[in-house]
Amino acid sequence: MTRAVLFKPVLSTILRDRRLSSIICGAALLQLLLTLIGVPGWTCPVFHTFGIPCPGCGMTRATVFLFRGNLKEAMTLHAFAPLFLVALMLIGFATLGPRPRIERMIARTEALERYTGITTLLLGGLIVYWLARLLLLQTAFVRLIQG
Amino acid sequence: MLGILGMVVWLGCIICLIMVVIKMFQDAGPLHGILGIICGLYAFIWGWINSDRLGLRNIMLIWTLLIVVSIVLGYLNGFSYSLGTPAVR
Repeated sequence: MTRAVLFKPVLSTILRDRRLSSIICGAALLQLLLTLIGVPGWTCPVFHTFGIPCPGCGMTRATVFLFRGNLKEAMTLHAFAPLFLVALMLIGFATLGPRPRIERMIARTEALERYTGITTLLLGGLIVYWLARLLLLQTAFVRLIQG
Repeated sequence: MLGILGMVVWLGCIICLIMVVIKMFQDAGPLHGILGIICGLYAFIWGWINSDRLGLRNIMLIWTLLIVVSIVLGYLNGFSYSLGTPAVR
């Protein structure tokens, strides 16, 4: 893969599309709310079809634990939950924030993504984290996701 | 009976997800595609937003219908019909 592909901005593309970011923000908040009150929301098709958790499985509950201030439980369930929460906050700000500040934030995010390739690193890290849990701690991992 | 129907519904969902993720790889690039695999909800939202432009409308309608059916089946059957659970070896 070329540098252009690996360093291509992803988050800033989402932030720039106000319709996409507002729907993502709304859907994520609804999902978190449903999980918080114990009602099943969006369920992972990969987990339900194959019985194998996908790299994002457990993220919603981990984020709910973060909201409750339980960092240890959140990190046990999914170590990427704090980063997901930061991304969600950025998307929320891009949806509701004042236009000039949003433009500045998007420009900074895009520059960060282009120069550091942080999105590729984080997505790669998430895949490695998922593989490690799946291969080394499979039983515990599936039980953890099942709750 | 509900169990078999549940399996069919989830298989349909995964097929729709795969089709949308393929479109994400082709149209938005590999990073968006990976994000779609990691977060099915993102793929679902992205699919609906780009459904007219990429001709995904029928797939998205089928996927949405399958999700509604899966929710109804889930409430009827206590979410016990899925193929994979438990998959602990």
